[in-house]
Amino acid sequence: MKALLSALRKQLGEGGVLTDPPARAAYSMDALTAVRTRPQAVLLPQTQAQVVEAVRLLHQAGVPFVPRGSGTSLSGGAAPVEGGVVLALHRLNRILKISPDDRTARVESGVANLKVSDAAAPYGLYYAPDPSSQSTCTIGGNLAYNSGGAHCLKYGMTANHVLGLKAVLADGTLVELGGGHEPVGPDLVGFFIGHEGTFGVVLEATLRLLPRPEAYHTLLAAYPSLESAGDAVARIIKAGLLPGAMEIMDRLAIQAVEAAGDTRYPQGAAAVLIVELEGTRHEVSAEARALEEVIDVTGAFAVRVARNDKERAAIWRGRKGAFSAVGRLSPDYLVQDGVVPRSRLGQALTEIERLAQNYGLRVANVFHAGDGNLHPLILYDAREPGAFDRAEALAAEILRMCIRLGGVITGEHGVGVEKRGFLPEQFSDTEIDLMKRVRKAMDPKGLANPGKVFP
Amino acid sequence: MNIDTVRDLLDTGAAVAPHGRDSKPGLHAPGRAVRASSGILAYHPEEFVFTAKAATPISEMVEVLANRNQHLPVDPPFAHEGSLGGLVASGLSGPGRFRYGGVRDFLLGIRFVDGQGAVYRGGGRVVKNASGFDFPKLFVGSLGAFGLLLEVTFKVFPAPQARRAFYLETPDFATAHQVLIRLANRPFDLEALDLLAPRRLYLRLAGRATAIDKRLRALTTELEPFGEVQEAPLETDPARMEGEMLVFLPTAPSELANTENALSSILDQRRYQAGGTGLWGTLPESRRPELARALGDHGLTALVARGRTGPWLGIPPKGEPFFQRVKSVLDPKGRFPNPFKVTHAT
Repeated sequence: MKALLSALRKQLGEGGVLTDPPARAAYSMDALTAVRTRPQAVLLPQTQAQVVEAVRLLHQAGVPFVPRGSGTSLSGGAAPVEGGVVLALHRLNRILKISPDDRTARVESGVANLKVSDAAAPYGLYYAPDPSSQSTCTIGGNLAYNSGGAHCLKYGMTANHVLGLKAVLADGTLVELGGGHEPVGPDLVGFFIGHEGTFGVVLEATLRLLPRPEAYHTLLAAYPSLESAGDAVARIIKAGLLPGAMEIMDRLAIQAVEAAGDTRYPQGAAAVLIVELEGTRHEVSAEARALEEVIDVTGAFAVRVARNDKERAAIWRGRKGAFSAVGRLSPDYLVQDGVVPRSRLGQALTEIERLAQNYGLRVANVFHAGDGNLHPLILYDAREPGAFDRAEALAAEILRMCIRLGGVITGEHGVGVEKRGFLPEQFSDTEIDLMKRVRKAMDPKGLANPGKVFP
Repeated sequence: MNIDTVRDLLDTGAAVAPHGRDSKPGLHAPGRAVRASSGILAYHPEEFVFTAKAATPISEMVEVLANRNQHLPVDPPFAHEGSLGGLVASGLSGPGRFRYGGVRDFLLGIRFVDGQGAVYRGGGRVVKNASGFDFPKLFVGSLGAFGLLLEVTFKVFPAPQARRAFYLETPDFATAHQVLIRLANRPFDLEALDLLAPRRLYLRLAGRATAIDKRLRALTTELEPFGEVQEAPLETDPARMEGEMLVFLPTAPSELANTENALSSILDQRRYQAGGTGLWGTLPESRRPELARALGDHGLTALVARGRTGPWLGIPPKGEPFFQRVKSVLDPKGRFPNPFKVTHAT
């Protein structure tokens, strides 16, 4: 390790290799705070060449490494491994080129998601994937975990918005894939996305930009029961509408965001539904009328429509801040990310409620209703003996339920450390073996983000 | 063809070539044909999810979806003769990809048999999924390289209530190109936006019936200074373009003037689709060597959708080293085609 660190210092400079205990402690976990391991060192490359050199040295030395953007992973994707180093990429943060005529942005992997839209804004363009952590989470992390957001049903996930990438595989080989909107040949870019850091490190990506919609219509409807909010979603779909986003929060989640700030959601709601339409002015106003007709018969006791950007932002602030707000209700929580077929949402929520009661734990639900992506937040207090184990056991039952209902264990957070034990419940042994063999072809020594994805 | 027959063929050590409904013979590799079965397996309109066996005709899917007011919004090319597996393996989308993306953006799950006869599932049957490696993406545009697709699951969307299509006749290519870029960058939510070289634009709007005429007026008013507006057909399958050969090339919208310069004397018809991100072109077989040369000179690749041999002409796409690593896992003995290993006699 000593020889390796000194070789790394030569490449990255003294300030680019941290080994002091406070730094190692600071990088010992990501947003899955229950999993902590102190890395041997933290590497802070500033250029793509430095990343490549670092990966080659690590490969030579046989030292495992964990690529990390901003550490916002909820599945422990950037959790360090014993005896390994953290390759922190947030300094690799240049926006290399915005090409408005091609509707693309070429950016380094440490660029924060929202910065891409900021850079594209002067051209009337934006980057569609919008994870709740978008002001800090990085493009590299988004690519590794195929991150989602609130607009996936209509616009897809990260993989649908990445046109090209440059990466260093775990053994130090540089690869360049894709580049344009309509490539020919196998979609290797698409296959690379969601690799959870196990193929290597993405250095830069070419992203697809979309024209910013002319108009938005953001509506918040309050319901006396979670079920009626769920029914409203089914009716909206049945009416042939395709909203940009449909989000539901339950009573506990609403209480949390109310306590956290100034969202002022309607009093006494057991659930709120947020629906956002976007498009041309004429289309949105026609859709808004259709939506109003649907909502009218869904039993909402209060309906608010944002009259301007400020009110739209206020509606979204509660939703986007829900996870951190729940953090105020409870010292610790686990977030799940399972997906169920949309028509099974009601059944899934009832089952979650029943399970939570059995386990004596509180669960707040915040979810992407349009694509059946649940986010039960399981509240627990780690200081209470056995509480974490109970929370994990409850989480496990929820994941199994998602599979049983025809869904998957993760919609947008990735498998990471947290759900690796459940991969065999969704995939057969031969399918997992296939994934392992692919991983081995990219990373023969198994050094890139080990301990993730696979049981 | 059942899986055992495919396995038996693989066991003989023969080179095999996945076939669908043989609508794009230029994309077939040499070798014994292997085929999936056909038939719809599951369709849940309320979930926006459709699953079928890979040799199912595209037209069957289109019809079944239409009965429930839904569609696959990519304007599948060769929609009247092609299979769903072929749609995926060719990776080709039509003009309708402009609004929501192409085949890669709508494929959710697959079942396939690899070079060693093993059967796997990849992806899922829900519209959002981040679990496990994304094998469905790998098969988009794969040209059969990793195995035979057995089943495919797509995300589908509600069909628009109304559509309108029109042409804009501009004075010259430069104007058409300029208007194309301007429109592509603005939030008109066009369903299709193509440049039919040298100087005609094709635009298609889709959406609520009560809004479509207002949108049409807003758009045509905006476009009046640039040329004359005429009604156009809604159907736009590039497979309908007549010519011995039909090729598809990835293009960059900002580079269209160069592309047009390089290819206008070789390709008889040129349809730059989806805001100028891809080009469909026709030519006689006799001009194939000339096309290959021009593509090579300009660093371009063309997929031979119709023609005697393929799968592509010009510069092979990027990523061969990465491709080979994946190929070594799924097809170590090289039973399935390797598009990167094809040498062209031009």
